[in-house]
Amino acid sequence: MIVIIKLFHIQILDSKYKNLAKNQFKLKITRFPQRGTIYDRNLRPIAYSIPRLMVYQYLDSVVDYYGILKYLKIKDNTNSKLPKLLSDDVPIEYRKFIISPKERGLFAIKYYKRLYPFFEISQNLVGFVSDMDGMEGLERSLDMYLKGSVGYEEVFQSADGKRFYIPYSNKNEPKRGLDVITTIDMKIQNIAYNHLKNAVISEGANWGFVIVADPQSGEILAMANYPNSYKNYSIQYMYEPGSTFKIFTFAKALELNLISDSDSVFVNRDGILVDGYRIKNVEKTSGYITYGEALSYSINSAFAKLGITMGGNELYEIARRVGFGIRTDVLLNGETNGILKRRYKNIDIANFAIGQGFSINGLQMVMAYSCIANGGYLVVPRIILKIGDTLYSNRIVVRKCFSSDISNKLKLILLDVVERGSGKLAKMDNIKVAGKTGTSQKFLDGSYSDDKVITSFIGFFPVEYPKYLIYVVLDEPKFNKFGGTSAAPVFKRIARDILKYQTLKF
Amino acid sequence: MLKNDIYILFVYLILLAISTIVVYTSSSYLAYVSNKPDFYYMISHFSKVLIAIGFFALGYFTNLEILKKYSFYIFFVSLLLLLLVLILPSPIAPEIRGAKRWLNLFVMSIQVSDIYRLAVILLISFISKSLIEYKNFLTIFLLVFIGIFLIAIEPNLSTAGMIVLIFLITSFYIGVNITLIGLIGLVLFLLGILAIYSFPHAMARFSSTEAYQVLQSKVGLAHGGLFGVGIGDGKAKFLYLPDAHTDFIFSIIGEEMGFIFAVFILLLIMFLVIRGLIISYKLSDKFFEASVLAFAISINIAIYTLGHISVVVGIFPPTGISMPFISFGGSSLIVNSFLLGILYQISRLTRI
Repeated sequence: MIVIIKLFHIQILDSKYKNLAKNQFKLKITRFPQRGTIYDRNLRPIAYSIPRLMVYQYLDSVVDYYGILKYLKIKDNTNSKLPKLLSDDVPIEYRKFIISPKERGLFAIKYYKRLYPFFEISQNLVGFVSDMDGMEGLERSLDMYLKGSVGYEEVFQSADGKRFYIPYSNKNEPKRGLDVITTIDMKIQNIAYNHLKNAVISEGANWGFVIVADPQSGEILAMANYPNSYKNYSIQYMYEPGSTFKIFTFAKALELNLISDSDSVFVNRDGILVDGYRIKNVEKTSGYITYGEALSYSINSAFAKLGITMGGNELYEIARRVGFGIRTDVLLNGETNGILKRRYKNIDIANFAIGQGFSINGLQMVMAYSCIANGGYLVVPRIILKIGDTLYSNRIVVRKCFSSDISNKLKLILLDVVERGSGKLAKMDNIKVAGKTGTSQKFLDGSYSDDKVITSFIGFFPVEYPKYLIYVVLDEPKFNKFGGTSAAPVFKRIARDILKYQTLKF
Repeated sequence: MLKNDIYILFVYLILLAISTIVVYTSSSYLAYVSNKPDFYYMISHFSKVLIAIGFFALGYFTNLEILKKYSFYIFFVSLLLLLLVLILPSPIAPEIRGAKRWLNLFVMSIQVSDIYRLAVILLISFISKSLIEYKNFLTIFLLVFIGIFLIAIEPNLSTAGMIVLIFLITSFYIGVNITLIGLIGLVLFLLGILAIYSFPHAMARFSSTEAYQVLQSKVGLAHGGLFGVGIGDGKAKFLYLPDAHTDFIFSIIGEEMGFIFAVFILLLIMFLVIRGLIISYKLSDKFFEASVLAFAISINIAIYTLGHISVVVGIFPPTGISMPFISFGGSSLIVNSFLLGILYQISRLTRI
């Protein structure tokens, strides 16, 4: 009688053992999904996942140890403790071989290994994945699409660790992440990266980046950074743009009818004094020149005067209009806003007019120049062509910045910069290039440094119908400290190779 | 015309059928992990079931007069076997899990204490009339105690204790002086406690480290609940519960078939016990020796069943007590079948 009561108590009444039974016999295991592939525009995989085995050794003596190592093509690392990871790159087909017989002393865990075929040239752009989460770059900004969803399955585990599938158990298959086709062209990325790398090394620069974009559609074709890390300098860094901004001061002056094409301005070789500060000129010429020539030779004093004439509000308006001071909303991780403020003091306005005293990110400059190249439209920069089955092929216009009349004038002036001005080194034989050099002094310890500069060149071609816009930026080059001498040649090399590649392609 | 108690045979066969199923389901994974076909233990058990039915028939057809004549010889032979199992070397008397309990014959290995249990039951029943004399009783007790001592040092304290219990309770039924029985019981109880302290393995079972088996048994039972998880769908047998097919088979029954069916099986066995006790009671006037025999056989089944279930539900510490007619294990099944066969034969002597 007592045993029956006790039996009843255990089997029916006592929930303690019931809970133990529930937890002990059912094991919820997570099934990880395969992460989506990132392609370039020509469907070359940039990042993709493949199933692989992590092979662990858990016994001291493994039968035919060296034979297995040889068979699996893995190296012996004898020092680590058991269970030790022998390899994380064993093809999935070897699973049977590894786990049977069990006395062999090895076990294998399936996982998805992320591979980056263009790792060196695209590392800063693409980022990386840790566990299941994209941590930087495209991997991070596209994470929600690429990730997929984990699945669950309830299995029964025996006391000796074997797992049995329960028929009709709660099951939730993992969902593979979506594939993404980007606007990046890996051939162009490769060209941009290699020329950038050479330039950063030979100029002794801290870092540099190159953006190649299609100014018509806003598609980013390449985004190269050097040195290699997971920092994307082209959007994550803020810096003062320098002379490349002058074209917008010029544009505003045209719109306000402050100047016309033929108007001349007197320039002094020593620059001008504004509020007791001297705005220096690089080009040591004096006399009357046209505003077009002032831009071609990047005469600071001329544009400082022009800025003071139109006033801080007008400069602020044009800068905001072409997209500075606000994120471009590119689908990339960690883009900065830049710092753009209204200026009221004359010296601040003078600096603003020549591209100093405010900061931008690289992509903002690319999009601002695209306005000039594409007939006046500020567009959203695009890095995605397709996610899963959804196409993202429409260009998105933020606003019309310039009338076509103004943008044509600006194009011609930029053409002149390359034809006979400070951008001569970007000039090409068989194609017309428009562009602008930039050299911005770094603001260090309360004053602008003559020594530490950011040099840049931005240009597009062919001028008639611009297809490519290239922006080259180098931080603190040690040897050529002007955009025209350090960045313009890089532009030219990249443009030349792109044209070579394109003629091959068509 | 008096008839046999056909219900005994009927229930016996039902229990054997249940046993075959439960042994299969509780041992299939064990067979699987030892790289044998999953019905390996079931086939082995079923062959013993068939042999056991043969022994049931043998018990039924045996001439009890002859058995009575030879009961002393049987006793001494079984005593000799107990001695042999301790002396003989490994292939014949292997040491399994630190205990020498089995004798390896050519076809099967037998647990010699089971034969000794049979011998003791037969002996005290057939000489029961003379046992009322306390001198005779003490002589017989000392003889029986030799065997119990040998079993205890195998070591197999639980079986030794079981045989002592059967012996003392049967003696009480015979009418031996209750004070004497109590005194002997007390002495043996103290000896038993001493033995538990002197054998490390026995002591360990009382400590909490060995509670794993009992915990798993309870978890399995709770998993089964009122109606069970279904035959074959139990989880405890996946090596969570060691010895699932022998010492903890009732836990598997509780898990897979549920509380109701577990109690049903318990009642089936208790039905045999009660039938045996009724027969014993009815015969007590005319056939005293047969009455004692029926009593001893019933008590034997009852004590083993309750002992087994007590371990399974955690009242007793886990010792190797098999469940009569259900557990995997040849010699116990065969001895119990033989005794039940005798009870079946005796049942003819009276009308229930």
